[in-house]
Amino acid sequence: MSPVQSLQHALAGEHAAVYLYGVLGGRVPASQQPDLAARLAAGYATHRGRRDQLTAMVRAAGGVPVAAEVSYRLPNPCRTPGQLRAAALDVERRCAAVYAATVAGTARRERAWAAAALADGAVRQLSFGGAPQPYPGMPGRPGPNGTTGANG
Amino acid sequence: MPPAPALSRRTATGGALAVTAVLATGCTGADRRPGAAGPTPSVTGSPTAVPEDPDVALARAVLLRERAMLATLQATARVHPRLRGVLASGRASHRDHVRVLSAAVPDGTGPAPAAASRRRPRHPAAVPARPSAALAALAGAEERHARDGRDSCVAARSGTFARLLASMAAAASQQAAVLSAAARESARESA
Repeated sequence: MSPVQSLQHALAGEHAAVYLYGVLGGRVPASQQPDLAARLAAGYATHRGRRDQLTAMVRAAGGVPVAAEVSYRLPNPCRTPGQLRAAALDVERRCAAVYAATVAGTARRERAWAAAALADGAVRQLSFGGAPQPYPGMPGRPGPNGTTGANG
Repeated sequence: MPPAPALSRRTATGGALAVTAVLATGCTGADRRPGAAGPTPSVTGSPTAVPEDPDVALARAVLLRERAMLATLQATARVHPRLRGVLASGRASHRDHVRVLSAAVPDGTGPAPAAASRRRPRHPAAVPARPSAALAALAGAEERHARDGRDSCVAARSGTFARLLASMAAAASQQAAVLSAAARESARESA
């Protein structure tokens, strides 16, 4: 995968993340779940910022930024606070995998940026109930006990 | 700004092949595929061998830092047995990083090779007596470890190896967050 393709792949992931965080933020009962609402709002702002940065990076690399889809499938019904948290965790795990791939496909400043985004997303996973993992962004990589699928 | 060429497309040394095999498959030693053989005798046995792959040198440097981080965690667990629960996932994580990197480095096997003990500080930083301070010190160490790991990730020639290093660094960032939260909680409890 070329550097531009890697950035496009990340941009497509951020389009999905922005859409999904928008939906999640609209469904959280903010008065009853102020912490969750604040975390979802922070996630939305972060991913929107990354989407804009990636758009600029793709253009700077001579590419035409990929457009967002009309809609994206929600990972679960997204009705209860538990489901909203699980959906946000799912988004962050997918983004972590995308950024790990971006690290592999880019170099220098773009790679450093992708590695920082991977770390930030890995930490954000914790705020949505995720447990620390030995290899964030590398699902399926064997963990300490030979288990797979524990990394997100 | 094209990415560095993949290891497989370069004139790879035996050491480079070892790195590739470990990183591509997550396998070590016995279950390594025959096509991706380990270091050749000319690499491991003779100082006049072909120049070492830069990614092998990088893996060795990261391995030393992983060992040092693990040693710091273990020292803290010895001084503060009550913290063993909160330290468990970090210890398991760094132990696995050591395992994977050891397999990628020709002389990286064994608990503490000569090169590692030479470069490791003789007197590791003392563990703070207060649990909250010990946790905060570890959080800072994990933070620095993550930053160093991302720097190494950028220096890697192989994209696959860079991805592994970025993932290991992200794991350290998670640990830093967990330890910071535990330090705050511990400070509140003792206040």
